[in-house]
Amino acid sequence: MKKTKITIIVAIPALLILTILLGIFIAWNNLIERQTFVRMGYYLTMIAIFALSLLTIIEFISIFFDKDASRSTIILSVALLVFLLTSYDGLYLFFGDGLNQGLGIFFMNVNYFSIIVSVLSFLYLLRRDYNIVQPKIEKNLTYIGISVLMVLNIVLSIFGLQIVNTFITYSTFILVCGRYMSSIFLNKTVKSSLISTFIIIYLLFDMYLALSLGFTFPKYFISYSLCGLYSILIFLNFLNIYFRFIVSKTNEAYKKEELEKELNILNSHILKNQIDPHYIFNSLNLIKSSYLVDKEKGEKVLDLFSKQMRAIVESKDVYLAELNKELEVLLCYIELENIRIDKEIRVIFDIDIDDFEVPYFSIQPLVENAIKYSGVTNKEDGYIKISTTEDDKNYIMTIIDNGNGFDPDKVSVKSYGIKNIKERFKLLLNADMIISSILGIGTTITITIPKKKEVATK
Amino acid sequence: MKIIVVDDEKSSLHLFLDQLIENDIDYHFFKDDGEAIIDYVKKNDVEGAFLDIHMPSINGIALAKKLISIKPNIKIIFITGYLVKDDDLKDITANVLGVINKPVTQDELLRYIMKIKEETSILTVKMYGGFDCFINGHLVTFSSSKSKELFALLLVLNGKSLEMGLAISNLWPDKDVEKAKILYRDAVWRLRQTLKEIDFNCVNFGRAVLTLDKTNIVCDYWDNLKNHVETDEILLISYSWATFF
Repeated sequence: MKKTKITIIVAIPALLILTILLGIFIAWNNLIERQTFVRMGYYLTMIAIFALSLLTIIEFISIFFDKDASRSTIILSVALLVFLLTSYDGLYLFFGDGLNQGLGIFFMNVNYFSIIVSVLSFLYLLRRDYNIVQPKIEKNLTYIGISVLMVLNIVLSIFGLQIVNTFITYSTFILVCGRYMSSIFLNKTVKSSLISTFIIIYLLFDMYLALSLGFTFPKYFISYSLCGLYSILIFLNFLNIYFRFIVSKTNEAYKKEELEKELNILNSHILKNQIDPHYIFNSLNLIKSSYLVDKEKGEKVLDLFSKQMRAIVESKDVYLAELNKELEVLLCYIELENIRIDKEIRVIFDIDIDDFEVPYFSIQPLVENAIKYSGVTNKEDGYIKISTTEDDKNYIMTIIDNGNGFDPDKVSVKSYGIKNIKERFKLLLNADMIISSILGIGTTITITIPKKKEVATK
Repeated sequence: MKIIVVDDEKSSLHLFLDQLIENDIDYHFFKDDGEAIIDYVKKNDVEGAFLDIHMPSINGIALAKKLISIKPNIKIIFITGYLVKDDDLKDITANVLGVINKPVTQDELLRYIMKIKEETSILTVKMYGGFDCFINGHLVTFSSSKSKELFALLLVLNGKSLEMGLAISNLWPDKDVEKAKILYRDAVWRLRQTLKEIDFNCVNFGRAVLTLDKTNIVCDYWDNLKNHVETDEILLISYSWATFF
């Protein structure tokens, strides 16, 4: 799907540019008799507009049956349809040359009105339904551009400057279409892609028309061509925006997929790392010997061991956990170890803030590591302290021990388990984990978790 | 009160239940024989059901739904070795009291039995001589001595709030303030976990103040205070600060 999207993204503008160049070439070199050329353009435009109207009607009907379609989508579809049908070309299609003055003016006004409605409902649609975020400059240019065009439209129609007016209408239409294309492409439906394609074809021939008419009627050459060029420029601008939208959305979806894959792999490795047969048989042995001492002790050890196993096994299915749950699991582990080594490991829970999440089964392995390698258990006043605090932007968690420390240059703390945890913190919470150590003094692991911004709900 | 236990494996559950047997708890054990279970529930006033979820011929959740349709007030407790997703239980949350993970502990079982009977847990506090707490008769184990001491201090205040300053000056009189604050937070966190474990959340953990909810707590010291009883027994013998009370 990704490849197809990119092909469309690249192919369409390329096609457009080629066709425009071809058109200019043909017109300039008089390769086809001007009249024929113009008529060809006209007929092709007719076909395109017919197809477009048909598709819009289909889209409109399907939207009606789509529970999720919002009002703005419906209004937009109707407005666009009306616009197309009452446009200069649309009217020609239905009435040919036999359109009387009064009716003509009526339709023209309907046309302008529908454009305004389309534009407004479009922008609304984009902002509300598709959550499209746009760079500020472009957003402002768009609003200014549309406002200017609408005003020009109205002013020029008052002064009866029909021809220039028509092209300005088309330009507005292009503006609107560009937006529409972006949003419906995001819908990823085949039907939407078809509509978009036809819009492009329609606009393409419109530009043809502009340029070819310009050449055919040299008296109006400048105004026609300028309008045509103007249309092209606006169109290219929106092509650019739409290009960017598609690419970013494709990237987003792609990135999300990759992220999930990576997380699944990392999570499955927890299982592999922690279910060490050595650990299991040692624990079972501990349970047995505890039972021989005293039934209650045996039960207690068995419970601790099963809680541990449960946490490890469930890690496959869960990505994040509340901090308190993680610390509970850690406490279980500590109590088990205390029994195992027949010593009390001093762990201090300096917990000031606890309403944030951490990757599932991430804290215990870190503390396990500290216990194994720092030698705190053998030190007279050895301890491991887990602190949590917060500032404006982040939650900060530190795991400090006053053990032997290590020399980062000499010892490679690139154990897979630690890397796994570091990566999961980064991927899931965009959190950084830094391990610093001083020989003879101790080791500190600092984890900085950015606070989530308030997400506005629809 | 009648309860049923359904598990395809002979679990330790009835060993516990045998121990807990009071005059009014009558339990019936079933393997995964769907028809027999439904038949029994139809004919008897069963108030609670402990159900395993993954069994060879029936699914515990489906069974629960059937039982609820027979007896809408029946209380369900699942016992399982697997992870249960909230989604699976969404239709029956009103009846489900909880999910116990295997292996089952006696305390947990007792707590759920009391929930079925709609009895509230009682914390019995003994302050004369040594300091001990009992939840429904079972001794409460604290994860650290300081967290236990902190609880004692809170209890001795007889409902008055315990501020961090007071706690620190009594529990860690010779440590500097910053270190003491860290140890305070450690004791607070551990106490919170202990209370969560016994499902008796009588303490409101404010920013730097702890407030006790005295309901459902029976304390020998409080009783003496209330009844103005003088006694020779020493209060909280192991804590030096107790002499002030």
